[in-house]
Amino acid sequence: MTKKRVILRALLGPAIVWACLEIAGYSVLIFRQSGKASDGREKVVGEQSLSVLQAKNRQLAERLKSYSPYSSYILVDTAENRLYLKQGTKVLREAVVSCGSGEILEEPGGKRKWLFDTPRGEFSVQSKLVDPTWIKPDWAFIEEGEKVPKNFNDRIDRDTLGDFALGFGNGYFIHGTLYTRLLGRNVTHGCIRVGDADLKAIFQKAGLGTKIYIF
Amino acid sequence: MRKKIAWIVILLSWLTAAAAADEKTKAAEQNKLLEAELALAKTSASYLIMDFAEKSISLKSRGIVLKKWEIRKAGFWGQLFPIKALELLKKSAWFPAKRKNIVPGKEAQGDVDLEVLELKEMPSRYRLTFPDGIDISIRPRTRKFFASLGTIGTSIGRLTLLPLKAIWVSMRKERFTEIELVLTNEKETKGLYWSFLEGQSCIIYRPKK
Repeated sequence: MTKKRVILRALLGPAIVWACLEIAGYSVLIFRQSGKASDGREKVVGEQSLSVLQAKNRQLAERLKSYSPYSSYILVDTAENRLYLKQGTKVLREAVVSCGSGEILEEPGGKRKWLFDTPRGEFSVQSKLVDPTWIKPDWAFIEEGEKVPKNFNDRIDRDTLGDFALGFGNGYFIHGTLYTRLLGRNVTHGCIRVGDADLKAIFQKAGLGTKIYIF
Repeated sequence: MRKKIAWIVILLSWLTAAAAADEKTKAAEQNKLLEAELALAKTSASYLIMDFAEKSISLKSRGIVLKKWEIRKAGFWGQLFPIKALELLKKSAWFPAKRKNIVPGKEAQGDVDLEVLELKEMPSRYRLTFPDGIDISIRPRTRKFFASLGTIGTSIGRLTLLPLKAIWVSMRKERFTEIELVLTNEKETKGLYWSFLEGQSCIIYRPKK
């Protein structure tokens, strides 16, 4: 009987302490949630009338609108491997594409390392090429386990990029592909591969300076 | 009778005044939100807006919505926070996606089993850490048995540990806000994990009323 009581007391003591801490903790939570701590919102409410605030909001919304492109633009969703040609909120064309694989390539015994991600952010069309030629960079040879050529002509590849290419800086392009069955998957070295019909439509619609948003 | 009418008039005018004050608060908050977004839209970097009034998370650039996620459920603990741009300090998950290394000479182009980093590799449950003690845990809405058990376990854990954290933080005189977000499904939570990068700016807007 006494043994049971000792065990009960040993359990009850910490349980009461725990319960007190929980109650105190929840009191702190409720006190803090009641908004006593200033978050800087009250000041604005007190200073201006409703009509002034509404007028200001309309102005701010207009200013915000002015930052978005007036003409058509390109959106690239690297997670879903989708490209959208848009004008305002209207989608003019949707294409299944291939974006960066996210893989890492390290030069054997060397110090160089490449990360094959499609760059994200705001870009613009900097060049438009018909029948583009790919000047293969060092990583293209290293990846295939080949020696990096010393002769420039050995780097020229006329087949890989398809019929058209749109350059958006740092050697990245929106271009065609031989691997159409991999469209919809993240397999590239950072460029955006598009199917022939979609590429032609995008190439015709997007001029130099067209904004590209990659996310 | 006159007394009754007087009371009704007082009550109505009080209700009208309260509604007007609410409108004003809403407009003032909208003002802060727009000002904060305008500052971000001036730059070329993309940013996120977590709008709990609209129940949505928008990835934006220059004011354009790039992608939108619906918030199915949200829970808040701790303090209300100012409407301002916050930088995502850290994304943490139990099983984060890992990048694969290419073995030179083993070009897998055309293979079915490509070892690439794709959306499906992303974690569906994770935590976002912001400055000012703001932590957001994100999970998908699920009806699967084991996933539901996991959710219940996590909720019990949080509900017991949160009060202790509240005491600890208030003793140190620090701010803290804990938010739990439930998105539509795994694809949505994985998509947000993919698109929201560490260092990216985010405005979290939770209306006061």
